[in-house]
Amino acid sequence: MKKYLKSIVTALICFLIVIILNFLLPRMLPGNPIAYLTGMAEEDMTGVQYEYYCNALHLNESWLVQFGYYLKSLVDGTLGYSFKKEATVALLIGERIGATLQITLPAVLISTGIGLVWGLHCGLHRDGILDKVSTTSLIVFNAVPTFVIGLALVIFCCFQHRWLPYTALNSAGIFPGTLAYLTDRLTHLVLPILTLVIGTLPSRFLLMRNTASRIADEKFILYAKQRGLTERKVQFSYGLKNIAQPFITMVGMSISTCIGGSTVVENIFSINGMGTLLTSAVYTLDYPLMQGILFVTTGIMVISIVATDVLCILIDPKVRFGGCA
Amino acid sequence: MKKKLLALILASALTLGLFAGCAEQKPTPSTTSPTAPVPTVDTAPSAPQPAIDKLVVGTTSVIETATAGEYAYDMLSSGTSQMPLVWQDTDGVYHPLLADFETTDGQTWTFTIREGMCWDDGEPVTAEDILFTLQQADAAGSANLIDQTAEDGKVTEAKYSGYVLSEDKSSISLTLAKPNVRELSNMTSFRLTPKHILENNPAPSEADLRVGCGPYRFASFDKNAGAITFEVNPHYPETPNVAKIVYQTFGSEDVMYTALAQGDIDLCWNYSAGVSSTYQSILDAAETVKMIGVPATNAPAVLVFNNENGLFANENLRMAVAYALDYNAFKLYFGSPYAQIPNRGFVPSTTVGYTDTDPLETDLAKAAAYMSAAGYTKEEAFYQNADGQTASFTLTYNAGKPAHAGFAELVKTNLELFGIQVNLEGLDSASYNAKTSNKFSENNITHEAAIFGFTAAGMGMMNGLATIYVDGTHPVQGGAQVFDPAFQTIRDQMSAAKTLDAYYEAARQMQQYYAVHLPLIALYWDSMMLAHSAKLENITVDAVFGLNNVNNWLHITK
Repeated sequence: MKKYLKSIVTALICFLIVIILNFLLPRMLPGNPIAYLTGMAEEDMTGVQYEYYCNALHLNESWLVQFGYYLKSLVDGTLGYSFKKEATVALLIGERIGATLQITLPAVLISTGIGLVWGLHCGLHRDGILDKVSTTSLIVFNAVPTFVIGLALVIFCCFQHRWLPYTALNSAGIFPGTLAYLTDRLTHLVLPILTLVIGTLPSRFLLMRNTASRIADEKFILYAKQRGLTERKVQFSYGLKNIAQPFITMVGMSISTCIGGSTVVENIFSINGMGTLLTSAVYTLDYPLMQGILFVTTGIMVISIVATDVLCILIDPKVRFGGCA
Repeated sequence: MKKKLLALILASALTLGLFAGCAEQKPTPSTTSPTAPVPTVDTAPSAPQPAIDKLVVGTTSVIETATAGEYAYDMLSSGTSQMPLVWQDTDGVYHPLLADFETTDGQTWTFTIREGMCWDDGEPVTAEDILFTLQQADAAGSANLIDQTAEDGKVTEAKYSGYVLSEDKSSISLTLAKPNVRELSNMTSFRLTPKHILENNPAPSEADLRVGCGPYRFASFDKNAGAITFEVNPHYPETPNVAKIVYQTFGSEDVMYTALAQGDIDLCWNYSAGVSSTYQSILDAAETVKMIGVPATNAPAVLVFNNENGLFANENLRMAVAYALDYNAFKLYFGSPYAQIPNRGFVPSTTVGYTDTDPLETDLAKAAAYMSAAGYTKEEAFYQNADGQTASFTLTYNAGKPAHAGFAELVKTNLELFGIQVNLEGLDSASYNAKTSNKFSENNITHEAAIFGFTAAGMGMMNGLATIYVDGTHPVQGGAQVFDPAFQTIRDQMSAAKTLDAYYEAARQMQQYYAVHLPLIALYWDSMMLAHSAKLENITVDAVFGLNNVNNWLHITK
């Protein structure tokens, strides 16, 4: 119980620090904060317009009051207001998060599943042909940047062979709610998901493979094999339970990637998701939007870290069988 | 069995998740038109069928709402449904678009709505719409017809001192507070707001904000597909050659230009930007693509001296730097194949009022002579003055702009080879602005020299010829910090010109001033490269909106 509490308290403290930094950083940058909102393109802004933005951002108030307004926007769920996009940050995130989850969630699930099964098998059959081929090739793939994978897939699958579409989440002119729309959507999702799977699979495979290879010669594995248990039973009931913790932690961390989106993949495939929203916020110096996205991704990350910590504690046999909890 | 069931449940959950994802993204009827097509107006006059069924325009613009007021959409729809009052060709000549224009003194400008112009709901466009547009902007804080006073008492004077509407409401005469013979440059992007829809309408709907008066009307915005479609406006007096214009948004330039080369899209467009130099040679080599070079009116790479304080208050040192830079290298490494070495008069040849001045040249002997005249002699690597101080300065640039970092590096390389030490200072946008602009530094510009990029709009603003960046008294820019009365006299002459000839004469003097005193240096001039499918012919290029312009759709053939 003590371990749970420690994990949760640490996470809460981190989250609080992030909230404070999130508020302070834009205000501590040199220059006039109005510039962050207007940029030089607003050079013909009148004094009245200047004051409007100043008041709207509460820049005439003390930092404490400004922080109060910031906390209020977090509590009421709006997460601030983007003057660049003329909408609340929560609305903007809400519009985009669905598109992002459609590519990141399946990609995380698929790469996790394949990485787990493949890595476990190769690790427990260390130095076999499959292990050697898989490990060598995935070490190479691990070094290939995601944008190269994405562009290569687009050129091969879309421009050379015309197998799949390459822009956005669906084709124009197809009505939502129809089977054609669903099929169209699924074909649009194939390449972005495949890019992310290829991009993330090597790290998951290598982690699982290396961890599993360390226990391949352990007595409990040899004993299980000697008992005549099936290969699957040995891998998942005996092997996986003992080495799952680092893998769970890695998967837990990737949940925040799901929310933050993959900027590179969204750009290549022209998907209006969280990644492109963050890119646009950075390019236009839309600080309220950047703060909102950071808040949401940090929040989700903290929750997923706490959840994975708890899960790791729970599946630890030492804890479960009466060790020091 | 239990595991199979579990696997089945997980697979079902994933599939349902995908369905749910689709449902979440289901567009609202008001923003995506597949569910809400614009009804055909039965009363619309019949017209001949356009020769081209559809053109697809690729763009990397980010469109969120596709309603008037969203900057990216405004720029995009200026070529289809939100037609500006006038347009400018690539020779710098203005032509009527939505309205005819005339002036006799450069101060009072009369705009007359052209015959037959209608909003796409069938209502006629009137000069009252021009007035309403100005009044609406004033209500939002602009100073068109009324002075705006800030809380600190600072007054922004109204641009116009008065107006007269004709009795038939077809024309309006707007009188400027000060004459401006180049007033039409402001009208190339002046789009009208429909008074009959937005007056007394505090909460306009999306449909209200999409009513336009060009040859096309808004048809649909499918955000998930990244596509905005315009169809022919049946009330427009002419029939365009293209039935449907589809703007397909791309997140990646790589993919967009490959799509163009593959024939998936017909042309590429981004407001005020051509094909970036990375892709120019690739597209140039593609047989399916044609490139058009339009001499640019912007200055993409500028070395701006602080003429008031620091090393470059000394004119001899500015001259020395000008002769020490390798302009061929700037042209070669940063420019397109159409890039040119600039003149000392700074502004490119497409500028209204351009006059020929000597080209900038690299001459290290002359540079050394100017260093000597400034009291510097070369000691080992760098020049030093009589007090033993090294000729050294800090060159500020915006680190958020990779090309600017490159310009700064090459300036440093050139000058340090010659003997002037350069310390590079890359800053984020806000810090950069706080050192280089009067507005953001609160009139305390502190850079010694800085790398700038001037947009075409910035170059032409107020008196034109980039004077807002040179004039130390300019309330917003003033990066070059010139307070010279001779400069101010010429600036005032430009401002007071009542005829184009008077303006040309003042502009000539200003360029001569630049050539003699070198308050700033253009590192290279370039052309804006536009790309379209080789199948397209009879292309019209607009100086402001490039290939995305109404005239293009009226005359283009495939």
